[in-house]
Amino acid sequence: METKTNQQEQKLETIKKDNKKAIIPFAIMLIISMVGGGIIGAVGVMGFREIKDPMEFSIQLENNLILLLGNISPWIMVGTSVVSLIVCLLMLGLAKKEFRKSSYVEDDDLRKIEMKLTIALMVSIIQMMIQFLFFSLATMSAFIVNTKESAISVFLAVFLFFVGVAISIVLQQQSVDFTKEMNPEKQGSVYDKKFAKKWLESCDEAEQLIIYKASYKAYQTTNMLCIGLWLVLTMLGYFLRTGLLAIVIVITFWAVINIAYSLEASKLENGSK
Amino acid sequence: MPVHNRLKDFRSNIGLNQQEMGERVGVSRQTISLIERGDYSPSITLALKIARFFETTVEEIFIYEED
Repeated sequence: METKTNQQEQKLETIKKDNKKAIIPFAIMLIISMVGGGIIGAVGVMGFREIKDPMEFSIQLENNLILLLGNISPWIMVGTSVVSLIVCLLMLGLAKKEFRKSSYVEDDDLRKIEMKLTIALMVSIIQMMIQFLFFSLATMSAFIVNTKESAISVFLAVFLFFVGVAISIVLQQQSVDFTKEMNPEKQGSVYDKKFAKKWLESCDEAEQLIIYKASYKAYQTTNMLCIGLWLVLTMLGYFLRTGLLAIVIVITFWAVINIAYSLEASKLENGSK
Repeated sequence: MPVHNRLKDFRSNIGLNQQEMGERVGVSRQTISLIERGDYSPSITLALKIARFFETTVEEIFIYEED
């Protein structure tokens, strides 16, 4: 009994020591953040002091930006689709050629092939994100202008959006199909709504660990991004009256990923899944 | 990583490539590659499967060394 108490005391002492060690860098970071925030705030106040109506200024700025980007949206949507098509087909072509040139491919060569596949997949995913962004900009721009020609711009944006997304999905399907050719045990089609589940189930223990580690990294990155976005949007809210909506969206997104993470971790810890 | 292994030696001795080795023990080529490079320590089940395949003990293939 006495030994157990001693062990507990030692453990508590270790926890206190660990906290003491970690609190100094944490406090330094907090002070740097406060000073940095203060400087940005002061510079911002000085810079935006001349603006009589920040709300009007921010609406004008936003509209001008949407109109400017909206006008070039069709070109960007076409351009990114063409570029991603060329890059992905080139990467996939090279990967297939290298893989099919002999009956057995050495480990180092396989890793080079997998790198080409990763590039193709990433390019097609980024291209899809760009299509979503510029579809919004093109249609918002048309609504701001609101002339008879705006309807044509909206139809053009919708058409380019669907073509761009279709290209991205076909490129992703090509990359996944080739991955399956390289690894016949892999299951699932890109067009199947249960693709992610089937793919994960067909992965073995090491591959699943890689997926889990990569997902955790993505979770950590998203948390950092949310802090950054919250800070930037709050600052913009002070100076440009950008409003609460964007901040609420970021906080909601931040809360959802953390609650989902905690609930899933709790379920797994309790063995209910 | 404190676990080292001699999987590549065992595999080469019987003339199997990583793909074939993976098929024999029910994992992918990538997993065999990760184990051989020391980037992944297999589960007990997989370590036992590999040892059984080579008709030896786990300790003969996987060596635990304290840092």
